[in-house]
Amino acid sequence: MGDRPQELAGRGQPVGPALGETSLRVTDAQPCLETVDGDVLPVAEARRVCRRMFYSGFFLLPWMWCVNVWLFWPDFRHGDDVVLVKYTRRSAACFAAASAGLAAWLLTFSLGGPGVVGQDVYAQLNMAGWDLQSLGLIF
Amino acid sequence: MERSILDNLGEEVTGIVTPVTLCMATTVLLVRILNPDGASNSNTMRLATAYYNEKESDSATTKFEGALINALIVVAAVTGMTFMLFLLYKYRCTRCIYGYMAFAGFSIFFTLTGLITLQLVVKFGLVLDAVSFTFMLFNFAVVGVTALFFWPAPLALKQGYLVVVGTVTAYVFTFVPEWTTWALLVAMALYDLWAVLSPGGPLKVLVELAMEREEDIPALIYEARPAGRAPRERRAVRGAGASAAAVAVPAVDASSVAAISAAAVTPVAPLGVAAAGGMPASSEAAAGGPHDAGQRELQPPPAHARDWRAGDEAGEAGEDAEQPLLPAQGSAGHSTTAAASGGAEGVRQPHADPGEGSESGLPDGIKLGMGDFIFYSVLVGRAAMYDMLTAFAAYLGIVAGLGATLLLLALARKALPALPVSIALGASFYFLARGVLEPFVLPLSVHLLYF
Repeated sequence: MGDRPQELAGRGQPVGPALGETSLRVTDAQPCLETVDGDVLPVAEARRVCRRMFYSGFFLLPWMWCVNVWLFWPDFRHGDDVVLVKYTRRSAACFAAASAGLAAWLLTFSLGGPGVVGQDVYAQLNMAGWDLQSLGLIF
Repeated sequence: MERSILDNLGEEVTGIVTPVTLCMATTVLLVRILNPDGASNSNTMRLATAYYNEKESDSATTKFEGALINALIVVAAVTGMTFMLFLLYKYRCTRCIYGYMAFAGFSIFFTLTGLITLQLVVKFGLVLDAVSFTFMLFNFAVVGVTALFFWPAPLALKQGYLVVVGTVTAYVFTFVPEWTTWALLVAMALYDLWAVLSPGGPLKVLVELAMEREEDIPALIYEARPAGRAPRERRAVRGAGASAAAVAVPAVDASSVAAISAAAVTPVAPLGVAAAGGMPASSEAAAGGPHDAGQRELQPPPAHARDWRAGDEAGEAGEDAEQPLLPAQGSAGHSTTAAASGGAEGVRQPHADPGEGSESGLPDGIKLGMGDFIFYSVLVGRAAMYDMLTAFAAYLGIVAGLGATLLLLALARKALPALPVSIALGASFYFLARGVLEPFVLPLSVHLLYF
C-alpha cells in the first residue's frame, strides 16, 4: 500500500453509505467491495487474496480462477482498484481458456469414443462401463 | 422502496428454509436414485452399528434394545468429541482445529462426493473419462475447502458447498439400519436439548466461551444471509480479523474454530474390499454464537429491532476412535467416521450500538448449524425409503418444527437447539403417516373405496 497514503489524504473523511453506493470510504484502509452482500475487505488484503487465488489456479485449479472473478465481481466490472482489475481479468481469461480446453476434451471423448484413444484405453477410462462392485467403490 | 417488516422477516425465514429444503430434497433424490430399496450397509457407519447389527429376522425387542444401545454409543462419542472441541478451543489450539477441519472437509468433498457422483455416472451411463472426472472433483474439493475455511469467498458459493456437505453426509447416514436411525435421531435431539440448554452442556459452555471472547464459534455454520445483493448499509470492518469473518466463518478470525467432522474414508483398500465403508460423519458444529457485539445494526423498523442469530447445533456422529489414533487401514473396509460437533442455535442479543449506526451493516440473518441440516435430511431420507408419502409428511413436520424453533428463538433470544422440535414433529408425522394415513389414503386413492 505504499502508493496509497497520498490518495487517502484527499478523501480521508468517512462518507456515510448512500443507497446504491458501491464503496465505502473508511479512513485507514480503503476497503474493496466483495460481491457478497457488500462485505468489506481492506484493500491490501483484497489484493493479496486476489493474487493468491490467481496463482493457485495454476495448480490445476481453473475453478479457483472462476471463484476469483466471482468474488471480486464489482471490481471486475467497473474496476476501482488497478491490481484487482488486472488479476481478475487474467483469471477470467485463464478460466475461459481452461474451460474451453476441458469442454473440447469432454466432447471429443464422449462423441469420439474408442476411435479417439483406442479401445483398451477407452475401456479403462470410461467410467460408465465400470463395475463399481468389483472395484470396491460403492457404499 | 421501503422495506416493511414483512420483507425482512419473510426473507430471513425463507433464507433458512430454502437451503434446508434443498438439502433434504437432494438427499431424498439420492436415496431414491441410488438406494430405493432402503438397503442398509453396516460397514458404512461402523460407529452406529458397533454394538448391534440389525438383521431382518430379529424380534422387535432385540431390534429396539440394540438400536437404543447403538444410539447411546453414538451420543456418547459425540459428547466426547464436543468436549474435546471445547478444550481445543479453550486452549486456543487453532491450528489443530483448522487442520482437522480442512482434512475432514477435503475428504467429504473429494472422497464421498466422488463416490456418490461416480455411482450416479454409472447409473445414468454418462460417458465421462476418469481423468477429467478426477480433475473436476479435485477442483471442486480444493476450492471448497479453501472457500469454507481459509480464504474469503462469495457467500453463495459457501452456502452451496455447505448444502453439499449436508447432503453427502446425510446420504451416508441413511445407510444406518432403520431402527438404529430412529433411535439415533431421538437420542441426538435429546442430546442437543441437554447440550445447549443445561448449564453443564458442552455446547452451552462453548457458546459462552465464544461470547466472552467475542469471536465466532468454531463450527460449520450456514449463514442465511442473502448473497450478492447491494446492501443498504455497509458492514464495517471491526478490526483486522473481523472483516472477512462475517463472510468466512472460521477463516479470518484467528481463534474462530470451526468444527467439522469429516469422515476419513479409507480409500479403496488394497484387497479391493468395499472402500465405501467410510462414513463421513460430518458434524458441523455450528454455533451461531454471538458475533461481534456492535457489528450489526438493527433494522430501521423498530419492531424488527432484533438481531437474529440462530446457530443451530447438532451433535453429530461421534468419531471413530481409531481415526485420529491409528491409520485405520482395515482390510475389511474399515471406515472411520469423524463426526463431532454440535451446533447450537443461538439468537444473539441485539447489542445495539446506536452510536455506530452509520457503520453497522444489515443483520446477519439466521445461522443454522450443519448438524441440523444433516439430521433433518437423514430423517427425510429414511422416510423416503419407505414411501414418498411419508417423506413429504416428515418434511412438513420438520419445516413446521423449524418455524416453531425460530419463533422460540425470537422469544428466548439466546442459543437454542434446533433439533428437538423438528425431530419430534418429523418423526411423529412419519409414524402417523405410515401407521394411520397410508392405510386410509392409499386404498381410497387407488380403489376409490375404503373398507
